[in-house]
Formats: sequence, structure tokens, C-alpha cells
Amino acid sequence: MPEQSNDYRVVVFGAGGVGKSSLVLRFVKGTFRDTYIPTVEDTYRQVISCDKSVCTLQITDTTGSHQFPAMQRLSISKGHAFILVYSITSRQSLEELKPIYQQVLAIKGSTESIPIMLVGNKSDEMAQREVETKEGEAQATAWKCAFMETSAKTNSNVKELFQELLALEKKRDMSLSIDGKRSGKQKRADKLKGKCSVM
Amino acid sequence: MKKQFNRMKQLANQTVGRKVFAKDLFLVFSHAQIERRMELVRVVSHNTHKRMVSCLQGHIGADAEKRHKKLPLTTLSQAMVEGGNQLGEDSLMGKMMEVCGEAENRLASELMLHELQIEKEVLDPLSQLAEVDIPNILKQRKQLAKLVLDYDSARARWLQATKSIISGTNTQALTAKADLLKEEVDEAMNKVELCKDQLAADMYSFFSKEGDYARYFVMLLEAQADYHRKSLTVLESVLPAIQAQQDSWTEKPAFGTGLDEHLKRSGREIALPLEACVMMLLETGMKEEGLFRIAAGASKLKKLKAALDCSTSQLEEFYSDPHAVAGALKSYLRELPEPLMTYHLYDEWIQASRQDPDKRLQALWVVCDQLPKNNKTNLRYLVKFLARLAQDSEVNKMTPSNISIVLGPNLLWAKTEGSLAEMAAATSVHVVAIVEPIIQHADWFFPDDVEFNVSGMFAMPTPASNHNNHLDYDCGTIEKKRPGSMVGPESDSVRKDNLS
Repeated sequence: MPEQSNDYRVVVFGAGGVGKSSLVLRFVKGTFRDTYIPTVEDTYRQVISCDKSVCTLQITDTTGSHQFPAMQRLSISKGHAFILVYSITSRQSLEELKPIYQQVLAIKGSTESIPIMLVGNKSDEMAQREVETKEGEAQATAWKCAFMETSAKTNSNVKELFQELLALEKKRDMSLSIDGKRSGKQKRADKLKGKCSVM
Repeated sequence: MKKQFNRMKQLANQTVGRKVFAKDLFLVFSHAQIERRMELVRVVSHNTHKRMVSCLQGHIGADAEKRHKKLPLTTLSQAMVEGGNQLGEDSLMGKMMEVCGEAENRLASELMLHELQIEKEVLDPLSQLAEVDIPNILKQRKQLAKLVLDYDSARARWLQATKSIISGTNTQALTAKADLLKEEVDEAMNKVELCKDQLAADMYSFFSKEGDYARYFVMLLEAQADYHRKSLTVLESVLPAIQAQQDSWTEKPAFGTGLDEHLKRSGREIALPLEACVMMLLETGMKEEGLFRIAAGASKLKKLKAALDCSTSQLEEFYSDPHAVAGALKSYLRELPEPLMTYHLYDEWIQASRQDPDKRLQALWVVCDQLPKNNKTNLRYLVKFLARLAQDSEVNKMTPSNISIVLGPNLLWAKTEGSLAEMAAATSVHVVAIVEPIIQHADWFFPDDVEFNVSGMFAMPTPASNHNNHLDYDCGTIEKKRPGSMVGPESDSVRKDNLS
């Protein structure tokens, strides 16, 4: 179980190329890059309000391309909440989430008190749609989690996604907006890639 | 048994010694006990013989060749050899069945010889004892009884005659008759004595042979032990050969098998899954966006991996699914017991990647040069292919950097990965810094050109073309039949231009 700390850790999972990094970057930086760069693993931090105070929302953007089970297990055991992303243009990417969900279930024991969002990204690419909205909803019902379709490209439902995820957390009262002076651009991207040091 | 007989003998001798009437002697021999004893020996011998015969697999009494033919082991052996022939020399199972069949045949021969020996040395003597020897003695005893009866009646007649001499008148005639009868009595007595001697001799011999009869059972066990030893020798002479054949079987699963072992076993230079996947990707995957990044269908991937594990399978259908092929290649690398870039050089690789940019390439080259031959050859093959893939990065989006991000962690990982997952996460960053420059400068690391079609096993299956060299085909004449085929003529010309 995650150790008690002020951080609130959200882990983003999904197959390669579904737009995990794009979603996170859109949310954290408000930008969308049209480049094509796979992620190793990036962590972003943002201050949010929590129980009438502030805490750090830590978003871990995982790699979709190579899953070393040990790394995945570590991310899950440290995470408080999970965003499972697939692309509506790839049925396979939804399939890929199933073992990840099972892994979360296995490590957390139960997913009932754990906020999980199933997200169908690339909702702007209607022409290439392979997964219908109701199929995503059906999967979310089966997993007893929330569901949303988003587009990082057109900034559709991105903020709502994180809001709803935080709203699902019943143990803390969290919200994205923080009151008064501390609000603003208090976020920093803490890229592992750049900061890695000798071990 | 012997003790009892001795007592009988004693009694008999006493009576014989005292020259009493043979009737007494007969009484001694008719003693029910000894008779019962012999009958008992006969019955148990008979039963043992019968049961022992039913243990035999061959037909008792048949000649060696016929027996051998009819043994279940022989028919098993024939079925195996026949099956082996049907499966053919190319099939391991067929070869094994032949070897095994021959071994079974030799076991059958041993069994046949063993049974012949048992029959000759144990069964026949037992049968002789139960069915001939003892009945003969018993018959002789009946004969004796009859002779004794004869004697008795002769004697009675003679006594009668003697009495009549005393009371009678015609003494001379009567005496003559009595003498005649006396002669008869003597003759009958003589016969009784003869028969009695014969019987006594036979009985002596019967009882004295008890040791011999008992020996049959020693011989049985000895013969069985000998048979098992011989069979074991047969098996032990075959086992190393058949085991070696099994071990030498090249078509063991490639996935999860150490690189050196797989190459040695298959007599290959480039790992089979590596070459197969590269050949397939060269054909249809080079323009696929996100190759190695986008996940393949799990069931398709599983099927392809299984197909590659038994290399004879048809791979045709996978040409249309480059992501599955890329996934299989990644799986192969990841499932190697030791990473392609080795545990041994792990620290060196990491050290090299931390060098200043101007020294880094040289440092990486030095480490690369230390790779064991097989690892180096296969890495070179893979890197050359990845560099080739990166040439199309405008279309497939897979730049050296992207390739090393998604593939690098499958090439090198720390031995402690399981326990220190965090470390693994961080090392995957290092790995990118190692792999990326190698792909970027593939021709500097590995100056020689690589022929991707090493074994010719995975040459284009397109029946219309008979080009053996995939890369040198005349693109204009080729009509691609598979859907999703994206390798166009321009990609090859690009490559050639770059190399020249």
C-alpha cells in the first residue's frame, strides 16, 4: 500500500501511442505537441487543494511500449489513482488495458475505493473510430470505474478527466483549483529523463 | 522328507535283513505317508509348472524364431519401426521411434532367449518330475503290489500242497506238485524282490535328487536376474544415443532459450526469431507508423511466437501484421535469459554512456567490441536493421531515439531488476543513451554490410518471384500480394544511395 504522504499519486497506463503523454502534457502544460516520441517514464507534479490545504498531485506517465512487470507493479503499488487510456481508433489498445486492470486489482486487492478512470482518447479522430462510446462505457461498467472520452489534441474533456478522478477519491477532499495567492502556474515537469543520476 | 524316508529305509532294511516275508516289506512301502508325500510333490510341481508356463509370453515348445515373432514386444517394436518410417527421418519423433523400436526388438530377443532357457532348465525338468518320474514310481509300486499278491497266492497254493502231503496218500506225486509250487513261490518271491529292489532304488534316487529339484528354483531366479541384467545392458547402450539425439534436436523453443544454446543447437549464426522477424518486417513493416511502439494483438502475438518456436510453420499470414512481428521480436529479446548486450558488460555499457559526448562513441565502441561473438553478430544484425528502419522515420516515426526508447530496455537490463524495480526504471533511461547512438551510427559501429537474408529460410514467399536476395530484387517487377505490404522500391534505392 502507498505510504502515507502528502503526495497524491496518479498513474497513467495504456498501450503505446494512445496519447498518455499528450493527455498529461495537455493537462499540465496546456499544450499539445504533434511530435512522435515514446515515453520512458515521466513524472509531473502540480499543487492542488486537498482537505482545505494543499498537496502535490503527482502524475506518472508510464511507458506503453515495453512493460517490465516489476516496473509496472511498482507503479501500481505506489499509485493512489489510475487513468487507463486507450485510443478510440484502436480496439487493440483497449484490449491491452485488460491485463493492466487485472494487475491493479491483484496488487490493490480491490478496486472499490480506488479511483480509476477508463479513458478513450483521440475522440477527435472520428473517422478512424474503432471502439464505440458505448463499448467503452460497457467496459467501465464491468470494471466498476468511471469512463470518459477525451481528445488531448482538441483539449476536450482533459481537465474534466482529472477533476472527476479527484472527485472519485473519497478519503480526501481534493480539487484542482487552489485558493488565493498560491494559485497560478505552480507546476513543474520533473522529467526523469533529464534528472537521472548515478546509482 | 528325507528324514521320513530314512526312517522308511531303516524299517525296510530291518525287514529285509530279518528275511521276513516280502509282505511285510510291502507293508512298509505302502505306508500311506510316503505315498502321500510323493503325490504332494507331484501336485505342487505340476501346479508350479502350470503357473510358470502362464508367465511366459512366448508359446511354450515353439522354436526360437516363431516365439520371437509372436512376442508382444516384437509387435510393439515393429509398430514403432513402421511408424518411424512413416514419419520419416526428418522428424525427431520418427527417428526416436525407430531407435526405440530397435531397442524393443533387442529386448524381445533377450526375453525370448530367457524364456527358452527357463523352459529348458526349469520347466522341462519340473514337468518330467511331475508327469513322468513320480507317476513311474507310483506305477512301479502298484506293480509291486500285484507281484506281492501273486506271491501270496503262490505261497498259499504251496502251503496247501504241503499240507496235503502230510495227510495225503500219493505222497510222491504230491511232493512233486509241492516242489513245483515251491518253485513258483520262489519265482514269485524273486520277482517281488526284483521289483522291490527297483522300487527302492527309484525311491532312493527320487529322494536323493531333492537337492536337484530344489535347484530349479535357484536357476529360475538366476535366469531371471540374468535376463534383467541383459535387458538393462540393452537399455543402457541405447539410452545415451537416444538422449543425445533428443538433446541435439534443433527445433527446441527459441523463445526463452539462451542465445548461445539456441545458435549451437540450430547451427545458426543469427537467432531464428530475429532473422524471421527482420525478414518479415523488411517486407511489410518498414513504413508502419510506430513500429515496435504500438502493441500487437495478444493472441496474434502468441500465435506468431509459437509459430517461430517450431520454425517449420507457415509465417505467411503474419506479413500483414507488422506490429505482431515487431512484438514477437521484442518478446524474443526480452525473454532471453541474459540480455543481448549481456549482464557481464552491463556496468561497462552504463559507464560508457556517461562519457562526454565526444568520447562516448569511442567508449561504446570499446564495450561493443568486448561482446561475445554470438551476441556481437546478432546485435550487429539487429542494429543494422534498426538503422534501416530509422531511415524511413519520416513515415514510420521511428527515429533512432524513438527506437531506442521502445526497444532499448529489451536489449540491456540489470540482473537485479526484479528486486529493484526503481533501478530498472532508471536504467532504461541509460539504455536509451546507449542504444540510440549505436543505431544512429550503425555503420560506424558495424562497418560491414549485413545480409539480412542469412539462412534463406525466410526469403519472400511470393511465388511469382524467385529472388533469393531480398534486398536486391528488381522492385518494378514485383507484384505484392499481401495486404499491408508497404516496402516500396524507393526504400531500397534510399538505402543503396546511403550506402554508396
